[in-house]
Amino acid sequence: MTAAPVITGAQTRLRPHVMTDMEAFQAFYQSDRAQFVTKPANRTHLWYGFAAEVGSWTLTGMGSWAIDVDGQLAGQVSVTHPPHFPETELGWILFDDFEGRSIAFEAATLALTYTRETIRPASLVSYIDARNSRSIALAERLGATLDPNADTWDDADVVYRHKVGMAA
Amino acid sequence: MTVTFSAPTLTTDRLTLRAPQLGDFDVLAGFYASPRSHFVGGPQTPELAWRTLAQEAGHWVLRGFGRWTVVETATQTPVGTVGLWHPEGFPERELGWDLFDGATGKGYATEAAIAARHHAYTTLGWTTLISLVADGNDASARVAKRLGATRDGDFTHERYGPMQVWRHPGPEARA
Repeated sequence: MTAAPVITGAQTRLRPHVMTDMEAFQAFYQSDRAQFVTKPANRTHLWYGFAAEVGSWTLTGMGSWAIDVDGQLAGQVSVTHPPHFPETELGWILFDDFEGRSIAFEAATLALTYTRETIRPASLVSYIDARNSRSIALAERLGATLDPNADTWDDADVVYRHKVGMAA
Repeated sequence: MTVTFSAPTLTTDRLTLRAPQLGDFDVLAGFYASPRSHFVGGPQTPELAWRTLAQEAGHWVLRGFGRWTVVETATQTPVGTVGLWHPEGFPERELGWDLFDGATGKGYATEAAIAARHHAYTTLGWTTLISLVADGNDASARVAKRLGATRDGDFTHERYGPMQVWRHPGPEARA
């Protein structure tokens, strides 16, 4: 059973999820900030989504990290490739109180570096709701570019492609 | 730093209980696509079957215990998912069993559940266990009865609906 590796940056620490993190996600999914992500219908679904991203590490060597800022949970960054995703995805969630400090950028950069060096997927994209301009801005800041020809699993999404492998 | 730990492997006369693996996906997706899964939240799409399998693995990491993939030792065929389960939404820790198509009628659920219960009462030091059985799942209720469990009220799950609570004999009686 493998858990997420701890990765430390200047202001954020990526660490494995623990049970108590789930309540913060419950609160997030009840808030307006969750308008662009798929919401779990109830707490059972919340558990399934949360535990699956933890178990993903054991099964596939990738999954989600908690973003820890000074001991507080600031959000989540994840690298996953469940069967319904056309390609491996880099995704992120940032909680309300942590906006405007480049926390998501730093966390996503740490995850991106780990992905390029250790996970080494054949390709890497971010699926982002077309109306989520702040998330799109983050993808562009990370160096990703819009790929209008890429397959999506949700018609509301646009696909931003990150460079991996020899091209990175 | 990478944190790892091992889910213990248990063996019985005919079965091996091992940690869930990526290779279990096809058989699990098949089970969750079939009508047999309708008492345990199915039928499900492959997307949800993936979440189910990954959740089983994540349960071990988050809770420190979980459910095993049960393999028929002689053939190495996965025959079901059995073990110690406490997902969000359950009233307490549960001993659960799901058998895949073609694995019923051989006493496998009972055999695997006895091994899992023994592990809970000895290695983990637990003192009680329930099993939740969906109303109408008579085959599963028979397994609970065969294991010596007795009815202990009802529970309504937000997703699975009305369920019977069966309580197992404690460690003093069975371990």
